[in-house]
Amino acid sequence: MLVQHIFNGLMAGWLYILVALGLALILSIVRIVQLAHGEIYMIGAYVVYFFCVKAGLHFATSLCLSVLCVGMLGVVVERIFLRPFRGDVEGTIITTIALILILQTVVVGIAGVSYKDIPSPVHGIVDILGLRLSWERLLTILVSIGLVFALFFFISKTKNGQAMLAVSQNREAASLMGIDVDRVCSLAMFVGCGLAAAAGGLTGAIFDIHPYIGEFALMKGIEVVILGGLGSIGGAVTGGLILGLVDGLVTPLLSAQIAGMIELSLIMVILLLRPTGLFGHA
Amino acid sequence: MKRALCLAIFTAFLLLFEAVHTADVQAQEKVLKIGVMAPLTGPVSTAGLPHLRCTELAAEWINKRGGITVKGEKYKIELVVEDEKDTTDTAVTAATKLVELHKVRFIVGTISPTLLVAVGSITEKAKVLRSAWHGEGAPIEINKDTPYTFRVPVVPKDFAPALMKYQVQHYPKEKKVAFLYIENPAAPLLAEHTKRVAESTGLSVVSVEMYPVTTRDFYPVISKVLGSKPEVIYCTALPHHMASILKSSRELGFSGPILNLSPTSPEVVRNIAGKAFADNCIVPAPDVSNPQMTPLIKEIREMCLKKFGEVHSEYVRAWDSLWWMVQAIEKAQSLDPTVVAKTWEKMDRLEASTGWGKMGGKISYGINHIGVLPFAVTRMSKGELEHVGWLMPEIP
Repeated sequence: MLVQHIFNGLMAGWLYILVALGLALILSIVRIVQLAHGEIYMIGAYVVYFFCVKAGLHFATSLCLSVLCVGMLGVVVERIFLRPFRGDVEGTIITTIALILILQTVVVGIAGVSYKDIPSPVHGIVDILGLRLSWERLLTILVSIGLVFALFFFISKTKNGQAMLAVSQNREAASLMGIDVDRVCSLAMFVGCGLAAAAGGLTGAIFDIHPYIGEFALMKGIEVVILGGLGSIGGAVTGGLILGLVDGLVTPLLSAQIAGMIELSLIMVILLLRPTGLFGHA
Repeated sequence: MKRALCLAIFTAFLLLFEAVHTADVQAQEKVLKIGVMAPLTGPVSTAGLPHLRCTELAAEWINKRGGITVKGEKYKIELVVEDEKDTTDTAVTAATKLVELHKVRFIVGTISPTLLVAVGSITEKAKVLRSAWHGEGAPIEINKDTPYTFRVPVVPKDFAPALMKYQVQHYPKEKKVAFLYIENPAAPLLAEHTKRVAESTGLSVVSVEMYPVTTRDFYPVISKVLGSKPEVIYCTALPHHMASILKSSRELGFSGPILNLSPTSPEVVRNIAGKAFADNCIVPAPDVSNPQMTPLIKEIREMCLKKFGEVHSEYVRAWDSLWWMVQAIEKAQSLDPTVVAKTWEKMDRLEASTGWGKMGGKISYGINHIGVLPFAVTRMSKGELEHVGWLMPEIP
């Protein structure tokens, strides 16, 4: 039973990582607290639903199209709503809160408030010596791991990725070295929002979708980023897995309330002892 | 010139006719404003919007039948809708606005149990009659000190005895039950009540768990429930919770019956969970497309499909809250909330969408303000919906 709890926790952890990756990227490069990231995640799920259910495309095709469409939406949002407020913390917070309401209202207007369901591309259970794992969760974990490695490769091995790294470390110095900071911010928004769309689509196939699922994504994303630290993919992975394990182990052994309390206490302790998070840099 | 004069006379005649006609209609048709408090934004709007749409249809249906007749005068219902956002402060503001600004004397609505109490602080003081859509059945919600608050639809506390009897009859071997309830201030009382009912029905309670309303991944909490080795799971849940509970339980190896004490729409639960997982699950809500539904549910279904293009049981649930209030007003032959309340609590035959009902609750709630009406039970079996039958809650 304990092994099952650990696996449940790891599965939950990878879902959190997927949600948090995009947020971490945007926070460290664009340097804004993108409070509407949960709504981007929600729109990603709806776009997958549209292509998959309404247009009848395959789930994988729908997911790729959603990543592209929502990535482009992120670029537009950054250019129109966020860039004018760069460096203005209050302005950014107000704008992103307004974005939450705008995006929710647009989705309610188009799709209504009723629950939607994305048909899962895989079905069934894997039973290994009494350890039960659902194929759709396994698929999500595999895609999450793939995306983490792809992002790691992109940042460490490509010119654009190195430019993003440079901007996240020192924006002024990067600019003096000839890096187009605006273009890098747009790219970061594209990648960050694309990752959120992938997270929305994949988790939408496991759970339901409705216009207010963004709150869950934002809260978990922020928790993971604070715990793991800004500017580190490894930090997001570690943070996500820690939170997943706390959920997976503490809830069955004690209760969901105590699991929530332990998660937030852990974050407070990390903030007190290491304000940049476990793997973050100042 | 002659043509222009003719045209002017004709226009003047038309205007005069319209003015006289309007005045005549106004003289004959009076308007009764009824406030509606629904969560139209936020997570609970998935339930709030169907409730509002159902109330709007009920008002249209009543108006088409001639409206409300009080002492020979006809009143058309005009709904004044306020979004309570499922938050206490907004709900109190919305109630204040309805009472103070719109001067309504009758209100239907609010879904969350906490709002039922919060809004009561405004409506009871103002002597405004209120017909709530939902609650948990906690004593603080409706009691002898809330003479202007009524609740028609059946709630988890009152579904429990009937559903447990049903379970004992149809699943006689399964005795060990686990409860999994949404965490809210009334949940511990519900847990205590259902535990008593279960034990008196011959069932043994092996665990009681609460989960936050924001829960999306039910694997951890279901793992805990399954650790107590239950044979039956009872839960309270919104449709997306129910679907996730069902799916997670089956994925983690639980194949026993799962009964929801909340009236979640079986169609919605099945669609979200997927047909493969929609098995051995029982909900106290109608499958509105089943041919065994009442003529009124069939009529509501047709109206919903025509107007909104979709329908499920949550589009039907709010109907009786307004419809019973209207029946009480007509029976009282008064628009005074105090007179209507006194009449309503004594009514022993009211037409409901699900059949015929009466008022109850004198013993169990301390006041006869609770609707006692039949409810449909639907069973999901191998992905299909079966109408099990109609049960009557016992609310003395």
